[in-house]
Amino acid sequence: MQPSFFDPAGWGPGAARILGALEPSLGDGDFDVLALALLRQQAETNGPYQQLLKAMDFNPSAATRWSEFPAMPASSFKDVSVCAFPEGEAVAVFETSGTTSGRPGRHFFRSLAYYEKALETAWRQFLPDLSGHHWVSLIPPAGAKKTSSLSHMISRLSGRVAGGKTVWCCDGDYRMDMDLFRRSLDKTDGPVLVLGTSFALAQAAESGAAVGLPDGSVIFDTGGYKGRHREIPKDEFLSLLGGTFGVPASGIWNEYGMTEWSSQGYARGDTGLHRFPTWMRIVLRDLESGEEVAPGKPGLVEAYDLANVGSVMAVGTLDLARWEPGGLRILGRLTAADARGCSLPYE
Amino acid sequence: MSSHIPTPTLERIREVSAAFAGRPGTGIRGPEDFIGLLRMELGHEEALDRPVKMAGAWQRAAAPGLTYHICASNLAVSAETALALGLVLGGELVFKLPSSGLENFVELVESLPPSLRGTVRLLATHDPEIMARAGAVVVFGGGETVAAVRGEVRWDQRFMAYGPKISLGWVLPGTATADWALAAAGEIRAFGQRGCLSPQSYLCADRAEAELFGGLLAAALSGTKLVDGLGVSAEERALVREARKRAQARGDAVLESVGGPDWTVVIRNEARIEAGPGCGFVEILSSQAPGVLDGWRGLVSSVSITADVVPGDLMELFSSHGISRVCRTGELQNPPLLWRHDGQPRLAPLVRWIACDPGMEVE
Repeated sequence: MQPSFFDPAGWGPGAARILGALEPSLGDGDFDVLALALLRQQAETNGPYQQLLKAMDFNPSAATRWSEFPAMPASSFKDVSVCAFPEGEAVAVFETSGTTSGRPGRHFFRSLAYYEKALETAWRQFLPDLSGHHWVSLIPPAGAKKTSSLSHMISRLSGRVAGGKTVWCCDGDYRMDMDLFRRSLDKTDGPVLVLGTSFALAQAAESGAAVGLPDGSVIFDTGGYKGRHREIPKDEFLSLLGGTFGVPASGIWNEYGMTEWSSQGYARGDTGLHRFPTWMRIVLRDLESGEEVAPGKPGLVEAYDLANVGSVMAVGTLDLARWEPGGLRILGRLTAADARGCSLPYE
Repeated sequence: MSSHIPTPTLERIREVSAAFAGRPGTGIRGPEDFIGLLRMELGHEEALDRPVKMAGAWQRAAAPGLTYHICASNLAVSAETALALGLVLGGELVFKLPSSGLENFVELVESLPPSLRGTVRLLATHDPEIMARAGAVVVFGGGETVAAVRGEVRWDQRFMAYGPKISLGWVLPGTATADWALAAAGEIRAFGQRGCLSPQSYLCADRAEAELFGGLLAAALSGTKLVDGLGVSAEERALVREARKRAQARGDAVLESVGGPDWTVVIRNEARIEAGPGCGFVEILSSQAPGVLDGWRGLVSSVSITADVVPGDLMELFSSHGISRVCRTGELQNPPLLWRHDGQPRLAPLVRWIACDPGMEVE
């Protein structure tokens, strides 16, 4: 018997089509068809998503467009197993970093094929060719931090793009080896790629004297301070990195992604505008009404990520952003107070 | 009050009591509250004015010459109470305001009589030099804020910190009634549910009581309005929308106002306490097992209970989890001035003492 396009008990031919669709050449029409089919499938097979849609009186079969489907809050990944397959069949689980609420969000994967193809394809599409650079990472390798999607991402890229010759300067407990880091930068002749979270990069920049990296060097910033450092305004951050490492803003790339997504957006420092792969759509929702906002107006980011095959394609965030000509500008984040009361920061 | 010639402290108490009369949330009813507080914390209401004999020795307390306060931006009431206490202690008072301002507080300061107003200075930005000159530093803020300020305070400066907290309601078995629900609605609504005394969850004994109390609370909330005059921001609407969706995805029962974020009652399947987005958003839990509180040890300020008599085992449970106040449901937002906020004395940590050895006299 021919399995349905998305076989709820397995993957069916639809899954193969999605894997093949994770290409820069994916057209809008194909995205629309696949996205609608995948969301309808997830509305049947993903229990928490099904509950959400039912509570919202949303009828998946009546929807004519993917953007009509409500997004699952990213915070739901902390509460429930957002799985479109039996949880026990997961081959990997990526976890968000702990918060004050003490429970990480968990993203279950039945296959990492989609995540990895999305990652590599978008990297090659948006970033310059970094295969000849000397990679130095302030992010732990996947072997040291198995539940980190970021570690998996960088390790995978290291193997596939840089031939696995990355120098790892951070362990699984996020302890950085600054001596190794500095030595690695000092001894290289060719261009360097420094990878790190914003926190790690800022700490590295502030930890010692300036080291002018060779021309063509690139810094890859994955964002995030994890509550361990006062957040530095973007301009100051770029100046700090530029002043310490001698890399201009045009050589500093920012990745916008999250554990609950399988795909990422990328921005070059001199524009600060993120661009996204063809298999991912970002919809901005008005804070007041929840309706989609027009370009130029700020709204909350909702991602419709075709590579999120095994969980839920539509994931909402509390990130505030605005579409500008050339890409998405991230403006900040709404903070749902983990504890009420005297909890707001002083400036 | 004492009938003899007023001391400077008693004079200040009279003025402060008049200036703060009717300020909700400060717990100030009249001069007697301050006198009671001085007696409780300093042993004598005139200890700041002259040596007094306590425990067989002459002792005198001295207020800081300058107290530096860092205010939280969510509500003015914590700054207002700190102002009242500082004015009673005496000395120069500096308040660093949040960048978003603190309109009600500024208005209060401007309305003080000249004798009090002259001792208060407001700062729009943090001034490390002034803070370095202070004898005491008082900070209201999140963990990061408190840690940052603590790092700037010298060892010889007095330091008091009030960190982030939530409050809870406890519905005793058999008390899920409309009257208690109405009282709960009042304490949820007060101050826009923005303060550390705002309840986030009500704990019931079992599912049946949770559903009953949740329904009654929803009815009570639908008949009341937010009490803070600040309205609901677009950001808060978005946070409520997200919190509702999150509850729905968990499969919880969600009772909510129609057409906006005015109120939300979530009857949780899981016995788990979480801080909500405010705006009348509250969760009802079906468990009163002690373990429910474990993840919040030291982070719960106050608990309201549906009774006038606190069961002994509950008092022990709350005490062991660092909860510093128990009140009747409906009274969460009306703490008495004598309450030790966050479990610590309000005045005693700020003053310095000089004492003569027992057997000695003072001229």
